[in-house]
Amino acid sequence: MKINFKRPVFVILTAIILIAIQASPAYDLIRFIAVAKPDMLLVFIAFIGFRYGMFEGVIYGFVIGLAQDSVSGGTLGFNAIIFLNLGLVAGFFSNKIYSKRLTVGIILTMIAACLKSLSIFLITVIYLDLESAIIVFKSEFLASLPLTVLFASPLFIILDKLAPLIYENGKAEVNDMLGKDVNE
Amino acid sequence: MLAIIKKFRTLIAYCFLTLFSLTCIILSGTNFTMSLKNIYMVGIFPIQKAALSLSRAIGRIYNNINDMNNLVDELSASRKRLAEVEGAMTSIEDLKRDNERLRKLLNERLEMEYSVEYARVVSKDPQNYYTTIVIDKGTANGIEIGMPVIGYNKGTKGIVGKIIEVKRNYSKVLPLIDRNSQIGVMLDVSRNVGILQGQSLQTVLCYLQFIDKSVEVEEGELVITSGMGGVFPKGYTIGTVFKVEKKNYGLFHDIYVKPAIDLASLEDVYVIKKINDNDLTDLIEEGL
Repeated sequence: MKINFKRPVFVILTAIILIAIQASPAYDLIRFIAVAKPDMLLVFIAFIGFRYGMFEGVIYGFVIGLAQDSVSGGTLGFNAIIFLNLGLVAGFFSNKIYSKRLTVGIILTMIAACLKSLSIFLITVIYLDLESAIIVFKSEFLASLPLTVLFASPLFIILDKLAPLIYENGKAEVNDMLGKDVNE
Repeated sequence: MLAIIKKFRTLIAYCFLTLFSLTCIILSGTNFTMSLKNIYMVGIFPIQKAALSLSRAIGRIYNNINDMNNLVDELSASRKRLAEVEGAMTSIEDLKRDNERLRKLLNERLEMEYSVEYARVVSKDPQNYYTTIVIDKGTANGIEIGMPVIGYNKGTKGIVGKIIEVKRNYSKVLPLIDRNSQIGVMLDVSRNVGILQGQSLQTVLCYLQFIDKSVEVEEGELVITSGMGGVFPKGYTIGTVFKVEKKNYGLFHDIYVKPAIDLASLEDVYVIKKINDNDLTDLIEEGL
């Protein structure tokens, strides 16, 4: 059995680049202007799960979540558990939605961002207190979610164009007007 | 067997990874999770540093072009100012000598000067619910957990936070605006002491607790470190009083402090190489 390492390597590399961007002081300026910063990694997990299914969504969600935990000041496993669940949910919609890529990106990101806000709320309630949980939930739900959704469509389109070249074996995709793959 | 594993691989992977994540959360702070964090950071840290260098290079080019236009005006203004300063220098020297003489007379114990380590801000927390900052100096440079971190903003020296995690070549800083940060502070005019707590996510303003209602506090009053708590040396600027809420009930004022250091534009910091007074810190934590 031939094992293809191309996708795991490039997915992890993309995730590390996105983490580096998201952790950069320049990107952090968005937080001071718009209260929160958009979560590009969430969009990436939603994309990976949606494109490659639940199994890969779970695996990559976990690995990327753990990578984020190591950079973040929080508890190791906190983001890992949230992101693997997001990968699972995004993977559930794989091959189930046939719509324009733009709409898919927005809808999936919105579902994933809502789930993330809820998960953070629950984990914060369990490990900290209700007051902190409400503050975190408000920041995630009211500020981060709209920004992330705004970022979702262009990022989904870019990833969709790049995916056949960097995550697959260079298969070119032909799209019809609805965005549905002809070669699917 | 293989067929069953293949059929239920998503479920197996999901259950295993969820269990693993929960174990990590439960074992947080232990050597096991710390080692795992280190393995990941080995891969991510160099990329973060490279990304930072690239963004700084682009920023520098842009700034250079911008600065050239202002340079001529600034030069003539600086020459004028230099002439004024030279005149003022003589009187400052006199004042300095007087000050030293009076200090000796008062037998005042002079504050111990600490050595500082310059560091650059490499990254900030990728998520919204933490505010930690990563700097490019670690144990190799003599940095230790608990050391205070200061920064400069428009000529003002102010507290940034304290070191909470140290590795060989990088450290994590807990900024004063973080909800987990608590600093012993003092009002500059009334000399009343209180505790400053961050309230990040809600606002960058910090909440100053335990200032008695009988104390007159003015908006704009300077807030400095009290030196109590064993972490921060006395007399460093924290910020200014932004808002005072006078309530009819309770014993204390609700005071909000605006930090002197703008964390949004913070690029360079200095770590004060001050060894923590652990006994004092333990006593305070027990008291809390």
